[in-house]
Amino acid sequence: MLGPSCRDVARWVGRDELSAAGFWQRTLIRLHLLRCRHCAAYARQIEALGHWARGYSRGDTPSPNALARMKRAFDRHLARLRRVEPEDMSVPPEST
Amino acid sequence: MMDDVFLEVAFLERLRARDTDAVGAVFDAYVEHIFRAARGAGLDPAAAEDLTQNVFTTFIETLPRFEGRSTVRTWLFGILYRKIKESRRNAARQDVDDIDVVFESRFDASGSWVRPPATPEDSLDRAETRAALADCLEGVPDRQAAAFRLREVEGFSTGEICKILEATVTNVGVMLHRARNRLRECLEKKGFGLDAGS
Repeated sequence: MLGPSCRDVARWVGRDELSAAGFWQRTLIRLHLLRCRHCAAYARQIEALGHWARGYSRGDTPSPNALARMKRAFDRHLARLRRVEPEDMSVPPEST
Repeated sequence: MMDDVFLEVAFLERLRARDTDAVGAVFDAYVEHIFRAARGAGLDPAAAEDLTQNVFTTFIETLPRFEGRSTVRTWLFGILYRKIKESRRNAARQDVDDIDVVFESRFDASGSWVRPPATPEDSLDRAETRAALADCLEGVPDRQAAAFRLREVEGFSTGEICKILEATVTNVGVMLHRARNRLRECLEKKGFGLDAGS
């Protein structure tokens, strides 16, 4: 059989190695994906996993209080390293 | 794009000199990305906050040594994943992974599918899918999960992931392949119908 097998194509797709393949290799893989509905389905599932992961991670952001704490700690450490006091070292009250 | 600005020679000089505005701009640009990645590595919000602070502390301490051979974002993520790796020193490296056996079992001797995949259904309940995916990600080994998140969530190239995880191009490809197949198999077991006929 000419061209890559389904297993070969699934490996190329799963490893994100298409861009590293040579021109003819890439062409053969793309032709295979056009002809083989199973490999095309696998490639769509790999892409779907990425969409799902990006959608889920959008909720992982720090709270405003956490951001403020991290910024203060960062500014203090930078000031220590620069041996310059920041303008305002007072700690604002935490909001509930 | 912020990374382009952060690579300008004049900006790098300001960073190495620990210029307050320059360093602050980097913090503002990436603090949420680093926090999100720390959370994605399985840390609760308090631990993720501590680790994020730790990353930026190391960042400003090592600034004079930053030469700009990678982007600032790549360098920050490299610091993050080195710290995660240090905290998980007992994680065993797997040269042969059981998911590879599962993957190979889907093909016959000629390399054709014996258990082909199905087209993902558009009608899948998205909240339910995301919850299942989060659960499945817990079962993916740390470095494979890290490679997956760096690619899919943060959008890093293979070359950048190599620098962040201190891995070869081949290693990164294998980690991505294993992570994706683990997730596929896990979702299939949870009944999300990723296989034809399931």
